[in-house]
Amino acid sequence: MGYPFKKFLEEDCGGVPGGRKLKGVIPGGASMPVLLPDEIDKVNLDYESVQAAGSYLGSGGVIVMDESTCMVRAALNLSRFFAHESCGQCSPCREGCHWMEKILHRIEYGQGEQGDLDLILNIAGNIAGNTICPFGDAAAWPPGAFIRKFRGEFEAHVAEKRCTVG
Amino acid sequence: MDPVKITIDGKEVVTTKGKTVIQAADDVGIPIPIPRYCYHPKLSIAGNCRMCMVEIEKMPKLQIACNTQAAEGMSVLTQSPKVLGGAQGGLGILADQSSGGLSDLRSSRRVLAARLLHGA
Repeated sequence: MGYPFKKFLEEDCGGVPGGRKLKGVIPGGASMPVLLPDEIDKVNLDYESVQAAGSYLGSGGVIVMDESTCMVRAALNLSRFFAHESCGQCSPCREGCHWMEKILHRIEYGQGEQGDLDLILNIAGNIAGNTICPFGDAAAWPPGAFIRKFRGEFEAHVAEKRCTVG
Repeated sequence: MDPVKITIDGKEVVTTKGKTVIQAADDVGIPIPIPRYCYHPKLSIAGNCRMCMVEIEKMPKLQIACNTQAAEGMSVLTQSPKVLGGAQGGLGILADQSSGGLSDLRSSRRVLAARLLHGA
């Protein structure tokens, strides 16, 4: 508790491989909002400082992504997981998770349309807080955070109709 | 039967203890009925369609009217922006995947609510 994240990543874990740059860190497992490098630099591994940076420690499963990672693909990967795991009991999560996955899939594979990003934010907003269990919140947070923090990359995918990373 | 006083959209409503918000609203017949998919008076409460969500004062999240018991002094809003957003979103998610765009959800919500209530 309270261990500086930067020291943890660079000294204890050996840093980002291949001399590549850090791109984003999810500090607390798949359901927590992603943080940018400058946000994570200030974080100590405790609840308060992660929360101050705009995310949560959650399950504590740290996911580190470097510049070779496509953020649309990462968001798609997470959405696919949540769509698969949604139990289907209540409507917003059952329909919304699959819908978000479908949209992210078409963006990643060059079929994205204008307005898709706002549509995802809208769907995510309508899932969070409206479901029976907290799975809905967990499923709605990551796509929203990815789009807000890497909007340029998502827009480039839509505009150029292909994956623009790597 | 103990009477319970609540307000729905600013209007005072007297219902009986043990009744839910959706029952209280249906009993007095509010102008725009609370929409519902999975609630039916003769079935057990499922609470999974999330269509009947209403805003209740002092509760941070929207609540489902079908499974929230009316309590003395409760203030319920069925037409606040938050409710229309939540229910529109719920209906939007269900209706929109087939129609393909964000159409006039508020009017479709009303049409649907009326249809569900009057069995048309």
